[in-house]
Amino acid sequence: MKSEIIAIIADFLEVPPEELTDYKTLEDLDIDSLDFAEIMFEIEEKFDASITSDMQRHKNEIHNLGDFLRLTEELILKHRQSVPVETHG
Amino acid sequence: MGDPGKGKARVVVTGMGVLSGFGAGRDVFETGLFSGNSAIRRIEGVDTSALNCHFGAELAHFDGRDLIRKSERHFYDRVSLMAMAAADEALEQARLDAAAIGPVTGVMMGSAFGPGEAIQEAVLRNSQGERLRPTSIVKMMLSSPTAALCARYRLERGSTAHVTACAASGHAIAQALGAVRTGEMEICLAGGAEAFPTSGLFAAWDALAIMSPDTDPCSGIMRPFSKDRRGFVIGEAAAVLVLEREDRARARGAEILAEICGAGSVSDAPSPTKPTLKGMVGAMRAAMDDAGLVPADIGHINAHGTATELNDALEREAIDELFGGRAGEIRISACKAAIGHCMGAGSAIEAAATILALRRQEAPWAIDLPWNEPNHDGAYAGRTVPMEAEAALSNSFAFGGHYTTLAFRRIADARPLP
Repeated sequence: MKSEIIAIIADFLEVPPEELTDYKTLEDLDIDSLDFAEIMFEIEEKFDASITSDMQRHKNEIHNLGDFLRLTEELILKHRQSVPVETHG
Repeated sequence: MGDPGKGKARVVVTGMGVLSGFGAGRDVFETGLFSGNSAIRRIEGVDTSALNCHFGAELAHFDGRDLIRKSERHFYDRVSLMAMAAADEALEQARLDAAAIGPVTGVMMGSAFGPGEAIQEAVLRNSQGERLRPTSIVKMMLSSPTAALCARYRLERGSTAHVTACAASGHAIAQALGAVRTGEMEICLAGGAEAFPTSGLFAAWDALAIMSPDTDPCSGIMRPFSKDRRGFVIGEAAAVLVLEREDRARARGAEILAEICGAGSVSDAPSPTKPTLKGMVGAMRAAMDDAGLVPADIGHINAHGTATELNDALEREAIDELFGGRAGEIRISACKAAIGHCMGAGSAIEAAATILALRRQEAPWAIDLPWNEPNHDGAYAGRTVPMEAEAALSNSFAFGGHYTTLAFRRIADARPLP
């Protein structure tokens, strides 16, 4: 999942994925608040998970890209656990 | 000639960028317009099969996304990208460093309908229960073309957006002229941008039944001032002029394309749509007064010429009233026959046409003379005729009772365009 999230951000920023190292801050990557909102939109669409409001609550825990990726993965997994799986038959 | 400028600082145009149905670039526009070709073709971007009008002048092969970073694409509708392309070209021609003009420059752009594509997309997605992107609202702002240029060049002087229908870019250029004259800013990027209508907007125009339903290009789709005119068709365009004071332009050795010597705007709205003689005469007179020109100075008029029954009849009457017996000597162009009615960008692109006409001493899409004969053929023949004109007017008369006229003067020692 982490590599897929990195691919979304790399595509948005038009940079090679290998440049998106964990220690870089959002400022280092020139991601402002609207960019952040757009990236979250792309991630939510990709993983069909509504996590932006949870992310906003935890935003002060994000000091660098590594924090962002870890939190995003956690929230997506949490979202999946909370959504009942449809069964057929 | 009257009293040019009446002591006002002289303002000149040192750069022009144009996108039109002829394609992207001022040279393409000039070549197309003065060769008598028409950019009006069968519409491809909108399904018109259930509608009355089927022709227009779309800007083909323009994407514009290469102008910006991918992360910026969500901010900018096509209309803003067109504005950027026109402004880039204008600045390049003016030989101004786009990275350095910010502190002394502002922008004033007109657009009647603004980011229509973004607005229609948001409405459609919302009606289908789909999510909107977080930045949708930014993309939908009517001020988008102005805002886009502010951001692109980090402009710091007071900038404004104009939405006065089909006089929008006329008002933008008029205000820019005032701002440069008074020293409010040293440079102003002034003009307009209008993307081709979305399907919803086009259908609304079609419903008004003032667009030409004709489909035979050989006999002219849009025929301003002809006795059998049947209305206009819509054109897509962006045009940006670089305005600066003449002393500044000369000090830096810039090529001067023309002087913009006056602007006149009046309002007269007995109804939201009905044009009036009073408004037309008032705007032309106000522009000449502002420029210190008298009717005898005017050798060329770029008419509003929408090929609608009432506009053309009244515009002809207004010119006759103002110029009397000289009206027949003035070379009159009706460029919409070639590029369509470019709505909020119309004044700006026709200002560019007027400047080119003065430089070339030729009137494109000229109305056959004498134009007050009852059975003349109008402008659809695409004839370019020679003229001797030191000063010219360009008219824009819009729904809402907005009338604006711009006045230009030929600069005799202007160097030829490269």
